[in-house]
Amino acid sequence: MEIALYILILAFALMGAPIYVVMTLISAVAFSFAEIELSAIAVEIYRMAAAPTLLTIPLFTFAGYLMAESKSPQRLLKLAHASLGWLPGGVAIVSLIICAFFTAFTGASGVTIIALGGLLYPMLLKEKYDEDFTLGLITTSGSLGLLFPPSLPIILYGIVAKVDIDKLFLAGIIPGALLIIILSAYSIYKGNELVRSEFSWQELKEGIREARWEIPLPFIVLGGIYSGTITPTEASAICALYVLIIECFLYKDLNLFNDVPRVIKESMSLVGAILLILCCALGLTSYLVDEEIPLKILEMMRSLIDNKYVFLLFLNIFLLIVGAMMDIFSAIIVVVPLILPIAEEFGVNPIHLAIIFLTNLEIGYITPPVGINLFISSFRFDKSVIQLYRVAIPYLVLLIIALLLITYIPWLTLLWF
Amino acid sequence: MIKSFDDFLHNLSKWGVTICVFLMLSLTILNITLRWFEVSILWIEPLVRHLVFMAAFFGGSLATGDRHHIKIDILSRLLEKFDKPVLMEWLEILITLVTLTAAVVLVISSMDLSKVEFEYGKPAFLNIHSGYLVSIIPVGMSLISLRLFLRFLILSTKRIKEWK
Repeated sequence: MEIALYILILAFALMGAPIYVVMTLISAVAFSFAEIELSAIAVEIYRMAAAPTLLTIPLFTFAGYLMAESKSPQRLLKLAHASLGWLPGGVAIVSLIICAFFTAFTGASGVTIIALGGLLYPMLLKEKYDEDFTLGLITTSGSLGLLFPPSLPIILYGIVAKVDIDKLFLAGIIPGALLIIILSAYSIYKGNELVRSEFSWQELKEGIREARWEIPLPFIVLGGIYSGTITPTEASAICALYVLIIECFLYKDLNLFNDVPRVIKESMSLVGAILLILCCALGLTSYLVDEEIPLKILEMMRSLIDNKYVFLLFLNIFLLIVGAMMDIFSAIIVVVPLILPIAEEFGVNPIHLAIIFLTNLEIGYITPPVGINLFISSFRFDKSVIQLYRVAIPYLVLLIIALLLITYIPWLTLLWF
Repeated sequence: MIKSFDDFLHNLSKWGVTICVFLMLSLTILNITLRWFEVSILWIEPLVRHLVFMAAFFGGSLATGDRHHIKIDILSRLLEKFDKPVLMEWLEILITLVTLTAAVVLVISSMDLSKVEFEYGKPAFLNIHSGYLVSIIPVGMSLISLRLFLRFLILSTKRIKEWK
């Protein structure tokens, strides 16, 4: 009976039931069969109100959405074009960097492709990049910056795994840069034969002048956290206030009374969806831990795997499948508590594990058949999903190479510690 | 009438979440500023955490209204691909009903917890009784359940009318 109910819930999940509903129903069935009061689910939900870094989720997301809704993408694009546009593949590299910046602030929620795709797609085609390369680049870039601070998946991972968020922010910088470097090298190879634009000091000065209020933002956030002046939670409030002031009062791109409530509504709709999953998964994960499920998986794995490196390879394959099937937020909430004790047992550093985990899920965004960026791009650029599957393959191969480097060279992640 | 009631709940959630965001932002900035003067107000941090908690439910209600909840969604993508709109509508009705069931489970379980908390809890920050703080869950989930129920009514009435 219990198994039949789980199968039914799984069927509902495949039919499109929200993940928080799936979590709640599984918890309700598990608790009922274990003769535990259903109010235990609510006890676990209320535990979330005690998480000290919870505030970072709504405020960084709000700041990211404010920037995406303003003319900030155009200004930063102009600046990046003036600084790097003269390189071979320069415009493509500019696209990668700008997308990474926006994804770091909007949490790879599809906003990057929607907000920047419309600007980058015609720009790359105008520079004579072929359509397949362009589509693949924008689709991949939609999740490229999620290893950079203050990305929402990093914060969520820190909350779920109880790892210091400031350490995770630092750990993601080199692996995140490695992904951009590898994709930039590919862009240089593809753009080498194209006509390059001339470098112009005048254009660069103009770009800096226009983006002068946005340039300090990463320095305020990271400088504040790593100088020890502010906590990540306070950094999120300062970041949100700063972006609100510059976009509403200095650039005047957004109106405080007309636009800001709309942006709050859109950003909090995403935050609500994530936090509901987090709330409802807490009951399920604590039940799984009480039932010693991770321990049972570990015992099973020990009979198959006997060293850390084989475990890491197995972990990568597993997470690539998870990343292609589930969205990043649900995957963090559901999978992290299960693999954390197992990885610890195999001697994997928890910070290194976090970066491996997030890199895998970043790749999952473009992995056929259900990588979400493929569908967002298909919708945004009115192209068939099959075409998107095809154009994503070279990027997928490059990102997997980067993933192997990140996995097997822990120094890239742990250099700072 | 059902639609306008749903619109009212949507606006309530929108303004509720806007107030929560502005309050959490201003209170956190106030806390940082006061720290420069070596003053600390102890109730700000727990209050802000509960505002985030409230914002989660208002946001959840908005995501319910906009159908922005995170899901796996393989079947409906396939149906969309094979152009089966009627089947998709029935599927949506079924999923709304399943979601409503889960939301009601959460309302009931959190009401039980609230009752216990009102009986055995104690005043927390700002002298607010912990029972009221825990009640954020049943109130928030009731808001989401109500919106799901209204959507279920709207979808099923439309489907039945077309069927006739």
